[in-house]
Amino acid sequence: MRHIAVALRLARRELRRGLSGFRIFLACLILGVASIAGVGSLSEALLQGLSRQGQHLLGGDVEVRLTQRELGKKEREWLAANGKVSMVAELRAMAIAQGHDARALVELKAVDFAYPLFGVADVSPRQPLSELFANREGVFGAAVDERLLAKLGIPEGGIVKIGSALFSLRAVVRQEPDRVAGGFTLGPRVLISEFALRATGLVQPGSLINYNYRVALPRGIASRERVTQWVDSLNAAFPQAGWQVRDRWNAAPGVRRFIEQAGAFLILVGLTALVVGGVGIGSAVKAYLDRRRDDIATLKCVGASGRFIFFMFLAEVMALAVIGVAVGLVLGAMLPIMAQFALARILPFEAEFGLYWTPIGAAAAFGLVTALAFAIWPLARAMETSPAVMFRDLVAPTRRLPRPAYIVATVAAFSLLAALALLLTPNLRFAAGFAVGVAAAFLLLRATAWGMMWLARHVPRPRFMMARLALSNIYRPGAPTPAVILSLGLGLTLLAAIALTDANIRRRMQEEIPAEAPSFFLVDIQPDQAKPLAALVRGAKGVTELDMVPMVRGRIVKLKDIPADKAVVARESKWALNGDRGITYGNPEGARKQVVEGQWWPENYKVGRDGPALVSFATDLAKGLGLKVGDMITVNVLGRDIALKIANLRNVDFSNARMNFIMIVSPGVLETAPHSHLATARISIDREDDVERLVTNKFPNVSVVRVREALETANDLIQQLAGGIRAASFVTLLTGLLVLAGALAAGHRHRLFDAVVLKVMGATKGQVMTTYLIEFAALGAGAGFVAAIVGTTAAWAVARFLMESTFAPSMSTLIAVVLGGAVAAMALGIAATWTALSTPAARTLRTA
Amino acid sequence: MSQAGPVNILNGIELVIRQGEAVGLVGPSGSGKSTMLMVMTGLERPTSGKVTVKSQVLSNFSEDEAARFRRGNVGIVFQSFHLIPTMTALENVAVPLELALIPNAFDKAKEELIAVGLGHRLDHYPSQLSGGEQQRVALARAIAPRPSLLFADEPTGNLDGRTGAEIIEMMFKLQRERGSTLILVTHDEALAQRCDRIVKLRDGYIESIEDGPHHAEEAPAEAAVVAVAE
Repeated sequence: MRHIAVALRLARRELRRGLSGFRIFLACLILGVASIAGVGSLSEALLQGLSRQGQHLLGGDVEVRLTQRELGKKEREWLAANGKVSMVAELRAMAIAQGHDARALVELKAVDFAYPLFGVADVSPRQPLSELFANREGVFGAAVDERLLAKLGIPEGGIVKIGSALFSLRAVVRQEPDRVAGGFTLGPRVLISEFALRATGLVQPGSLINYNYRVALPRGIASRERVTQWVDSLNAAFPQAGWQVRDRWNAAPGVRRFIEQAGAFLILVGLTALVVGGVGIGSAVKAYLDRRRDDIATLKCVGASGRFIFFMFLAEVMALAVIGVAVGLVLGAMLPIMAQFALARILPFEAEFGLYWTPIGAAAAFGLVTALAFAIWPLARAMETSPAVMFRDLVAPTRRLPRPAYIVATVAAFSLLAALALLLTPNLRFAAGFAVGVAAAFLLLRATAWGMMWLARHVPRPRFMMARLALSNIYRPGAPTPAVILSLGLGLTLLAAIALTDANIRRRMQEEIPAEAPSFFLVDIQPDQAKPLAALVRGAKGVTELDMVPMVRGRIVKLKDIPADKAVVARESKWALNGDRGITYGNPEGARKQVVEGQWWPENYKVGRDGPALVSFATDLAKGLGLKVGDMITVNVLGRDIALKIANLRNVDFSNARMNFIMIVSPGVLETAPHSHLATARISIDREDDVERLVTNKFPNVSVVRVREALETANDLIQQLAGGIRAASFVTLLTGLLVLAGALAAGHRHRLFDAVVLKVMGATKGQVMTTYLIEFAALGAGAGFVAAIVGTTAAWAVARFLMESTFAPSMSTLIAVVLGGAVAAMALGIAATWTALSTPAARTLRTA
Repeated sequence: MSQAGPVNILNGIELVIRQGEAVGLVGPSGSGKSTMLMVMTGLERPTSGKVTVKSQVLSNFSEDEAARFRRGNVGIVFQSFHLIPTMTALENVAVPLELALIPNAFDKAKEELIAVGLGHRLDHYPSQLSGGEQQRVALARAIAPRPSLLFADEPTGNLDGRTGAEIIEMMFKLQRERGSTLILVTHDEALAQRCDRIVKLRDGYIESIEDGPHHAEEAPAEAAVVAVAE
């Protein structure tokens, strides 16, 4: 114990020397810790903002959401008696400009006079909504997204026809308090009154309309507990309602989930930066201890034990790590404040800035454990330094593994790091995959470095002197090979994985899906319109295919007799229980061919006579929900519970933008429920406008969704996301370059010496440079090769398991990234060794 | 250049060294011996003045031109050996031969190592050799391309007396056999006495130039080195 106190005292004395030699160490730690603390604080600030502004975002304390039906009289009365109610209806529709032939799919939102219960709907020019929406000489008023004016080519005040009603676009929507961004919208917003909606004729049985009833609760019901009680009593009063109820603490579950997942992913990217930085930390500690070899020997000569040396330098290193972590935390905590200016424009709500101790604590733990994990090894080797080095100038350092206890300590520290990563990310499977990926890349790169050093030592010595020197630079004691291969390799691997994933998504969105997908989705076709519309479309020029099925919306309420909200299901399958899903009783093209388990029902199957109502279910989802052929599920369609037996499972590819149904029900079950039809059509590109005009002129209530435009919208969204991920991976790359620079700097003395001796013997700068080029090219090729393999594997895994899509590696992307990265690293290497080339020989010879 | 301003290390030097001559450069520390050696080998450029080696004005050469000139013309033996630690003895000796594009560099390097008595140490790394052996490798490396000029900077400074004497014997023997010009920088007066001429330096000036006891009058040969510092 007393020895530890002495070791700490000596470590404190050592610290008086300042930070020289530890700049890369500190920079790596600061970057990694700052990115983790920053991303964590930012996502916490966003989540807090979401919670705090839940009332505004939801539009009430509680929202009751219904699809395809409005509240019944009793339900409405119950709500009105227990709070203040506002109704908002949302649907998609076609807006057709009057006067000239332009049309666009719009997201229609019809509101009552109580809207909004919380916050302010801001329109320009500013006016009361009642005035804006008023019917003036048969024309209603509407406020629209500015993009619609541009799309239709009409000015403010222009007239459009929606369904069978006329609307004057009297104002532009500046802010809707209840609009949560991040949601996927297919068209610009059109805000109208509930009365106007009824005049459009779009409200038909089976039309795809979401009715959202927001309730402002009386003052006494404010706590979460009271609100939950309120919701429970509502559900108890109407057990068969089939609605979805949300409270203000869960205002935007999609956005919340997105922030949590994006935050977790970016933290993992930050952690990669920290692990890459760890290589730099390890190198810096090793280089420092190499420089202190004589001092360590001296301490041993005067009686210090190996353990004493270990603790003394560990204390010094960890004290420096605390400084680095502290600086990183301060920078990280400041990131949300800096980001708010950039985010203010895209976020529909305000982030709640403050000091969040959880992400800060997590980042601090990551930083300190990383420093410890990478420092133990070099420290444990340094403690073995023999005092004999004082008397013998050994050129080659003692090559010994640390003692077993220290190897165990290193493994324990790395395990702790992995455990922390798993503990702090919500998606365990993804985090585990990520951790395994990083560990595999790390080990593979370390093995590559070892293999290259072994090979360089054992290949026949080339006669070409420059190549020989380059080879010996790769394996000599203290060679930067492991650090260069690791830092460059991990950076390039991450870059390659991200670039390949990005390229794969682009390929899917721009080539594969458009080739498979239909041109149009035709939505909200009324049953009596099905036949004439089919005839019209089939008869139109350029139409090669039309597939039409009836569709109802229904929510899964029970899985094998267990209420859906109590069932234990896989995280990635939860979405299927969160709201209404489309169900068909038709026979969509190719559905039978998708069956992988069980049997399709016979042609003339009759419910009751031949057996229970049957359903064909999507395989992956069935697995996630714990369902198999023969199990029962209950679906609520428009307030009616329907029990269905799973007859078969189908492989459904949700990524192909075709008509995909999770559930297809056997005939004779849903025919009497109010429903509409959904159709897909394949049309030659030059005829798309004509067919759209033809359909919407004849059937103004039918919405035409252009798949290509929808894909472009989705692609834009993905590109914005990809931008964020690229920014985060830049931190890793920057850390990699820092480590690389550090590794090269550590070998600088050797290089300088070699360069000078060669120059003395008549070598020109060009020849010395050739040596370095050969060395860096070999290292770059080694790191690039591994990065290409691991990066491609990672991108494949992301495509296969996370996105469940096909994967085709883009060779051009791979070559560009790996070659570009390796060349950039070589350039950095040459730049770093330039001083070695340019230093006058005489100066070095005098000091050597 | 020091912080206080320029310092003239060599002043008013006028020295002509003949082909085949052995010249000892002596003087106390700081007298400019090593600087003179650096200037004469083109490792450093004089700020003014001129150095002509084998009729070529070395002081006008760029760094790379000087390097090319050294190939095959100049061999240097250092006090601290300066071997490349990652190369074997044989490879170290082969380097200048390869740079000078001399065919069969490795065979010649081997011959040179045998000549200095290290035929059994060809594949050893510098760290596996004793100080005396390392200096013999350095000597073999310096003489391998048969340079007309051999420079030695305190070649025995890091060696014990007996080993140092062996190296010196070997160096003079090889110099005489090959007719090279030897410029030997040393503190050791006795060692300097073995040279044909002894140049004494003090504070950057030539204090005296004396003939050594073994100096034999011969017909003046062609000038090998002409150093003029203004």
